[in-house]
Amino acid sequence: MRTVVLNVFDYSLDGILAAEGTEFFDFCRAAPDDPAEVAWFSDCLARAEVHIMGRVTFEGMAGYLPDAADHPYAGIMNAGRKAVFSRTLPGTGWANTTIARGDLATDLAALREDGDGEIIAHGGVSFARSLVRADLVDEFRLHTFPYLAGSGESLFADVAKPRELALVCSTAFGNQTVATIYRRDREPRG
Amino acid sequence: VRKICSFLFASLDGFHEDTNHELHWQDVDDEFDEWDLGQLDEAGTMLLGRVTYDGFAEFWSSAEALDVDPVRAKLLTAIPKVVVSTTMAEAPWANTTIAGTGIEAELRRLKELPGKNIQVIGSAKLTSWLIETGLLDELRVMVSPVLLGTGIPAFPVSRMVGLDLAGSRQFGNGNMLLIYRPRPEQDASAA
Repeated sequence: MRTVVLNVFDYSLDGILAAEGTEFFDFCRAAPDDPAEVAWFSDCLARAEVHIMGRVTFEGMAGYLPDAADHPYAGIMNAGRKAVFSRTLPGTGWANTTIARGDLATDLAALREDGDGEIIAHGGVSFARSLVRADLVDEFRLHTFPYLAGSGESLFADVAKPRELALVCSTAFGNQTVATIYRRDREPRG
Repeated sequence: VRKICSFLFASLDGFHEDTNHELHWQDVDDEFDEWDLGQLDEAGTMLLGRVTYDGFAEFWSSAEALDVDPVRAKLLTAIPKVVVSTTMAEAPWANTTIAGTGIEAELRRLKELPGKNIQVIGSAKLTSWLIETGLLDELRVMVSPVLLGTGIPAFPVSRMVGLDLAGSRQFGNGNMLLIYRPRPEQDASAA
């Protein structure tokens, strides 16, 4: 059985996701790259058996990574097995990619049962919130930016009752983000 | 010159209390005590919001507190306290000054004096106000490994605020301490 890992890069101290077009998003993009964080995420990517994402994130990656030989994640992402969750995407045009058009929980359950290792979810905002709403995430990897957004798209707004997590590890990077990994023991599903 | 430091607990999704004002998810242990008593040791004045003050006064002046946590009870009773309230007529706890509408000027004056830190504890609204007025020097957040989904926001700021990371520490019980310094307002936005 695979575990579902949600990696979130643009998270604020007050739990907001940086949506494109917001000042928080600009703040995140203005932060310098830290080679240690690139290495950290490269390890995450290399361990993943399957990469999943929503349509918006898919279009961003698929439009860029296939021709970006120098990008640190291009090799892994181009060669890796990918599934994009979308009911409207006509085709992928990116190697090793399938489209999941059905119910999120059902399609993801099939992917989980299809082997071992990790499924890594890349976002974006709406896809991440859908995974959280349906309680489909086994492990959260959050990169907390030094920022209070005040308002915006809350990653966990749809959590209906409190969920306990377990902190696995944390890493503070030179660009002032702190990556934390939390595990969630989900209720057994019928 | 004195620093104003604020310490508060927050859930991973940024809440200070759940909707029933329950705080049971805030897990404290010996490791926390050692760290927290260290920050109290660096404090010369305690600055509290009215709601937090009322809760503290009721508990920390009680016989129960003296019994279960005598060190903290004696320390918190003895330390000079400033409670921010425009309605409180008389403070129910020893060594308390009530500060009302003149609080901002009073804090600017206090900061210029020599001495130990001015320490805010558990006062979410007051902390956000201090951030927005530029008075807060250090924000210390103990992030608990829990998602509440809803509740009282830990950071009820009315605008976005850029911070600088000043430190982080992982505690054995799963709490994550994050320490930040607010950036001056003109630098808060990348735009």
